[in-house]
Amino acid sequence: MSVLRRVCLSGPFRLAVIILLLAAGIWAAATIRMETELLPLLPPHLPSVQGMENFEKRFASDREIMVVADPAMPETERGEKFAKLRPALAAIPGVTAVLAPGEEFTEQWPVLAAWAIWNLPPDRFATLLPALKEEAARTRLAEIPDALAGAPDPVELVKLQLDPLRLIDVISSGSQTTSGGTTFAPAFAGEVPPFLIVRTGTPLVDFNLCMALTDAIHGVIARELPGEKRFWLTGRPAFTAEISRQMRSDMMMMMGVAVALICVAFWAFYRTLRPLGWILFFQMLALLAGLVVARFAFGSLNVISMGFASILLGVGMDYSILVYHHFASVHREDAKTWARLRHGIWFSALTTSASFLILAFSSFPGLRQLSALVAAGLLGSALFATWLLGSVLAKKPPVAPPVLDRFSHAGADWVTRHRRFLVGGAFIAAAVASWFIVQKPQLFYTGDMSQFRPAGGEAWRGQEVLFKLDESERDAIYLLRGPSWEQVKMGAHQLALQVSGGKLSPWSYLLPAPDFQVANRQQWPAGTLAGLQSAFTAAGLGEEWSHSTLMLSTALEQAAQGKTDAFRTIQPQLATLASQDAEGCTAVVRLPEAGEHPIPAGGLDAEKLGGVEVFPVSWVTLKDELTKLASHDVNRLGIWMLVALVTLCALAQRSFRLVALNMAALLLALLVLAALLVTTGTQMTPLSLLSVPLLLGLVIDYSLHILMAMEHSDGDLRHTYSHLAAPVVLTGLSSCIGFGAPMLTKQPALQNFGLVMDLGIMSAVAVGLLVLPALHQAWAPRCYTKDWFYRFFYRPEGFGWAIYWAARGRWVIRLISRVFAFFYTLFHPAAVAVVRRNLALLDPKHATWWSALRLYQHQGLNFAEYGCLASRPPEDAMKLLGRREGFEYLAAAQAKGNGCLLVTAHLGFFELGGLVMRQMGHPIVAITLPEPTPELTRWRAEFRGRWGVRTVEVGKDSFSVVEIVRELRAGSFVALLGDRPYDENHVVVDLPHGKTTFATGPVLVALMADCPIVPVACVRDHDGTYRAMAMPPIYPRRLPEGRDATLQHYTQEIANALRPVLLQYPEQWFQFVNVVA
Amino acid sequence: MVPVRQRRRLILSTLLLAASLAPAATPLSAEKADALRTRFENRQKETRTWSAGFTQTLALKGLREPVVSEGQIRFRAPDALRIDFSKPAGEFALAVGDQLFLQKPGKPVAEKSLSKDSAGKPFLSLLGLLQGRPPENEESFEVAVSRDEDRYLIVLTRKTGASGRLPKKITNTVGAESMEVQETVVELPNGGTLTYTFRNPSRNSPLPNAAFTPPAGR
Repeated sequence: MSVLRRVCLSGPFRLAVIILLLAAGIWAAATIRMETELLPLLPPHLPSVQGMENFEKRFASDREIMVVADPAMPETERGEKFAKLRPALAAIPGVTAVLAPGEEFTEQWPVLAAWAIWNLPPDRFATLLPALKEEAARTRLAEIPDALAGAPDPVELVKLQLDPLRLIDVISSGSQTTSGGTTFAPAFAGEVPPFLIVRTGTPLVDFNLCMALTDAIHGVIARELPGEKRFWLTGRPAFTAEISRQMRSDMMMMMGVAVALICVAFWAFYRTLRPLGWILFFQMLALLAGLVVARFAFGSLNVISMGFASILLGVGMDYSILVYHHFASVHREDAKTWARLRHGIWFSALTTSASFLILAFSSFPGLRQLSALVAAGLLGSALFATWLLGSVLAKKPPVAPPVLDRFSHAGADWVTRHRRFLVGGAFIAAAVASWFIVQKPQLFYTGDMSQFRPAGGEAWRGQEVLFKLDESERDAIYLLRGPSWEQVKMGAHQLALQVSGGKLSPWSYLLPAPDFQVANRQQWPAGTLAGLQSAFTAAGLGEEWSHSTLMLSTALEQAAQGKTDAFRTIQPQLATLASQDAEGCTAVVRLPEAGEHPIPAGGLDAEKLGGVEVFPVSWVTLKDELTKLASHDVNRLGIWMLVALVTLCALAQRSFRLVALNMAALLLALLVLAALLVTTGTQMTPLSLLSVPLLLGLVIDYSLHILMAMEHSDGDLRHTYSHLAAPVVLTGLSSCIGFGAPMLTKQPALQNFGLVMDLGIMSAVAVGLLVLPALHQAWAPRCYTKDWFYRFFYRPEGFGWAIYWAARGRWVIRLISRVFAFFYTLFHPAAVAVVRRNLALLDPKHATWWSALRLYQHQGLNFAEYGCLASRPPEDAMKLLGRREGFEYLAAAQAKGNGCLLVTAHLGFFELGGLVMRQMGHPIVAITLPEPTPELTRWRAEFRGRWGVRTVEVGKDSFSVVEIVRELRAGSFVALLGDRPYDENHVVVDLPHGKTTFATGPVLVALMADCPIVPVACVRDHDGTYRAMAMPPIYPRRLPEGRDATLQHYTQEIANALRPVLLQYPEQWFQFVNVVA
Repeated sequence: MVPVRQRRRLILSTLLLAASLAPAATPLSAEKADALRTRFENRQKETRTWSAGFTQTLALKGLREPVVSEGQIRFRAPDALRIDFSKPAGEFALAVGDQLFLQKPGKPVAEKSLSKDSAGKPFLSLLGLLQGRPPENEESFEVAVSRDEDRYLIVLTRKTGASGRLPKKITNTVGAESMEVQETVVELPNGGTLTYTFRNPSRNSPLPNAAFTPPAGR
């Protein structure tokens, strides 16, 4: 054991790691920030996201909370209660003002009107000036009594009092706005306000500040109006406070529910809770590991990531459950099984982590955080399960309840009996789902972004009331950004033309136009203010009539005089509409009645916008943008995921068949998921659509384990189920709990995500346990002779290609054969497993994958030698010969004239041995079984014939034996293979580490022909030459113990004689079927 | 007259109880006020037509002098009301159902909604008064009824918390015996008063139908 391994396995090291992780995790949990904003979760490059983010950053107030009354409350009651609340709210520390909506506006509206006028195009500004002349004002004011006579209109009365010169009408005339003179009339002036605005002196950017203020306001309401529940707090700080509070409680709730349910599930299966404590402890460590990653990498947890804890708990439990089940089973002492399980767990962890990490490449920042957290946590889970939990359970092994085995076996039997029905049912469900996918895709997906809105909360209810109260609720809102205000205004006009037929909201008057201001300053007549004052005095109208007009004119006069503070009093209002910074000029533009279709069907014509960027502040456009992006992401990530999975599966299984079965399980699971979605009426959203790559990883996880177990048990479903059925069902259940816990939150996005994942996991488990075994049995591994590789190359054409390439150079054919051998070994793990099992009979330590590779390479070289020797004279073949041993035994046998049986194994290049015998003057006959095709039999016989070796094909009939005896009696050397009996005529012989079977035919024939048996071998030596060996002859005699004992004795002698050669050259013992007795 | 919003039936109604604004007016008890309301409502239900001359006086803060308008008001049950101004000449207002037609001198007839447009609010209130169902209700107003010699005074004072767009106070003067509306004074939310003084009322006299026919070619 290496030093590093010893250290890692030592108790103090483990303890140190645990303590360090605990400390780091607690620090991370205490210092991590809760990211409550929704927009940072979305792709920042989308125009709508930019629009909304910039709108919130620049123009939405982070110093105000709105106290909204239930619209059902009678107006008078509302007025009385607000009157009571106002002073109490104003007394809250940090609150600088409590206002009714528009209250500030009411006082400053003339200055706002002045600003609008000041920024009019010069030609329109010029139309106003005549009305401001003293004479015109006097005339207009003199008409007021007549205007007041007759039928009274209350609104007109107010307008006249506020704007006796009708200046607002002059501004509005000829413009493309939807309302005229009432544009700047305060909306709620005089009315009982539907809400109050509580404003603080400092921005509420921290969620603690937001929570402190919302709590204080709630306290005031409770104190002043006991029992009153019809006031709701809304606004950005209220949302932050509510979501933060909700996030914390949701996280605790999800974790608590997930842990409780998992405990119940674990107890239901294993009827014990004791080891669960350790399992949950190690899961907690994994969770802390994820949290530490979040703290360092991101510094915060967002709304999506707050679900990671329960997800990790559910998915990470898989590994612990597998480890637990192993130590509870009878195989707990089997080191190989434990090694294989660890290998499987790590492979699963890597696959599932990879599938989560794929999300890091999605366009949604919110998912990147989740992917990193879960991937880190999963790897941590795998580490702690294999490293720590294993050693805990090894000390005190648990015992699985026997009922698990009974149910497993019963389940396996049921699946075996109904496999056709299960496979058929799965395919029918898949076919139906496919039809729906093609014909009615809208059943599966909705881009409705209202899913992301934090529905149901107090802040959202208040927001909805505000939306309804706002006259401009149906407006489309945009942020326009350009290098200058003139361009922004031009862009706004063009935008209006493209979207709303040219109609702009009246607020567009308030956009700054410095160029216009300069021009208008030139036009402003001096003394205008004084003239107006004189006109009002002459008309005998009091301050109630003149105040607004004179305030407006004062502002214009000051602006005309170049005073920079002319519009200082309305800066707070203007700041909510336009801002200028290094990025340029940004303005809020509203288009009336365009809220449902803010962007025309063909998109905006950017050229006509003149370089002005347009960012919609709209959930409608956001929905469309996200849908497009999510679909693109699913395709992109899904393909990557698929490629990664196929590659990982190929590396792990190295079998086309197994990889294909994995992919079949994947496809079926996805289609069954689709069927479940249709059945339950569940639609996927852009968020849950991105869970598809996650499901790919999870499905492969299950199918990988099941297929590996099926392969290991040679398709024995009972054996597989006893190992895996309970763990897979329990891990599926824990994953469902982990993903399902977020459904208990108030976040609709997480609810939908959790539901889709649960349905996906259920389909994965169902397909993995019920359908996949049936598919595996239908496509069982076959003998290597049925393999396409064997059938393709082991025929005359295959030898012909070897001859062709050999003619290009010996090194060419040898290189080709080595390459073929490598890839064959890589992609035929079942065949390699058989070879290794056979090699283990000789020496288990050398029964490795590399030994198998070298064996296949030797076989490939044999093939190459065939090709080389085919085109050369036999004398060249003799040059390949190196050492020659024991040939005296052959000479002695030949001298006696009785013939001799040359018995060898499938060892080395035994064909060369026949040539050597012939060249040395020994008449040689090769006994062979029929090849797969008569053509090949003929071809090989002709090949040997070139060397003077005759071939006799034998079958199962007795005439073959007669022919062999005749050859022997004629003095021939008859060569045959003894280590792969083809019928029941065999005995079990001992090898150093096991038993195998050898044919009794040679002994029988030798007894009949009364000839010796000479074990021989021709192997490739390390220097590339061939070593030909003949062992001392064996003279079979009938033993007194009888026929069977005689056959057993002398066949064992043959095996003993060949054993040293087998041990020295194990990688040239070409046994590709299982020869272990 | 400031527009009013609510339409609920006033419990005490705008009884045509005469009350003197002089400090000597005697407040009525709730039972008597109720009886008066009932009496007024019943009378108005029996009123098929009603006409009178009127003087409209608008006194606003800041105006040197109040603005005086005069004309004739005609009502036909259940929901037609016509006001012809003699000063300013050439102006009329006609309310039939929810339609309101307004003609200013030298301008075309404008059609509006009695209930939805701000211009309809004063006519809605007058119509309600003549129908016996004034739109002002107890939710927004405190009601005080008193008797002053030969008339009743019904004073509606806006409650704290009621909409600031409602009148601060409405004072209706009704003849004690005749139950005829003599005067209505509305204190406007922004300050100032709007006063209607009625003279020579005529009840259930025939009125020409043409007076209540919506104008053609509008």
